Amino acid sequence: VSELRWHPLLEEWVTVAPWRQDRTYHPPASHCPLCPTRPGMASTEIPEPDYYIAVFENRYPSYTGEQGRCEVVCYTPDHDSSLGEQSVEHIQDLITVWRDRTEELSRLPNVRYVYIFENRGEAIGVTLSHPHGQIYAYPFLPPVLDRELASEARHMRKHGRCLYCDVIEGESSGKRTVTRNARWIAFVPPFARWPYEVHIAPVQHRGWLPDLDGEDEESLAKIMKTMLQKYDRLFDMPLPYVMAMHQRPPGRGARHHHFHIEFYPPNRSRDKLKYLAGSELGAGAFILDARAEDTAAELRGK
Amino acid sequence: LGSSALPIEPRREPKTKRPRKRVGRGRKLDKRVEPKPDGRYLIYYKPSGRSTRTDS
Repeated sequence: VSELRWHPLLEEWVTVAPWRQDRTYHPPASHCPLCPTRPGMASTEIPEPDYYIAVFENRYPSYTGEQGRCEVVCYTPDHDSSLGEQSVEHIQDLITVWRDRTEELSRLPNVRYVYIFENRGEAIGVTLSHPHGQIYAYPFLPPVLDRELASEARHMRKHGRCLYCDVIEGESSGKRTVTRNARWIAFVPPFARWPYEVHIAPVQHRGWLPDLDGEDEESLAKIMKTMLQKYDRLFDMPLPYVMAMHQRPPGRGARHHHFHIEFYPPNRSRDKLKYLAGSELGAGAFILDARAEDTAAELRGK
Repeated sequence: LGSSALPIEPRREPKTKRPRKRVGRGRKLDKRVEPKPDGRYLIYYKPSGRSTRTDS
């Protein structure tokens, strides 16, 4: 199992998992471990010759056994596809899978948080190009979520309202809205830390994926597809991004948390990346050379 | 300081094979869990009533 070391200055856990150094690194498509096992080809992580959506325990986990779980979610058997290229129905089925995994992993005895995410593109550090996401079931509350939940709790105590509901209300002018439907809004938040950062959030308060009803899921699938297509049209290329789902933690608490999905593309133009450097990494202070109103308008037009 | 020992409970051993289960609120998915030879698990999801995939 991994070693968890406490950072006393930042008061957060650092996970040490040296075996991850050996994980598969940019294999050719013919040796992709996330493709189905085609007849006559080498066996992959998925022994069947075809699949729809598959989930398996990561071979190089950061958390396993009593500590938690690390799962890989293979969105599709099509190696050269992407999340945004899937049909609305397929994305809706993925949402069902994410919810099922959230419910199951939340029941494990030491899991404090279920985090669903996707790293897309080499610029982000992806080592397998097959369309897939990951799920980490952590044995602790990760620091970003810990801080977010604390802010939301303070806001609730002070104002008696959900903080993120107020953030969404602040978007009524639409100047930072990229797209919306009856149940969801996609917008560049005024406090974005990446030029093309987008949040997708339910207009009505929902805490985590298990709170969504069938219509919520269908509307979420539609807005995700629209948003991801806009991303790929932005610079006429598959836009790299990190997708981070911020759900409430398992258990009875944290009802004040508002479910949302954050996207962080590293690009500030087609061929220029924003790097986390001195101010961001060393001091935790993000400096942004773009206004959310301008990047939202740009995305809206795509 | 240093390494920690979080409260630990024994891991639930994966069952060798579970029956198919149906999950989902709107669209239903069939779920089938398969153990891998090294002890990890693999889960297949597919729309209920369909042989395998493919609409992607």
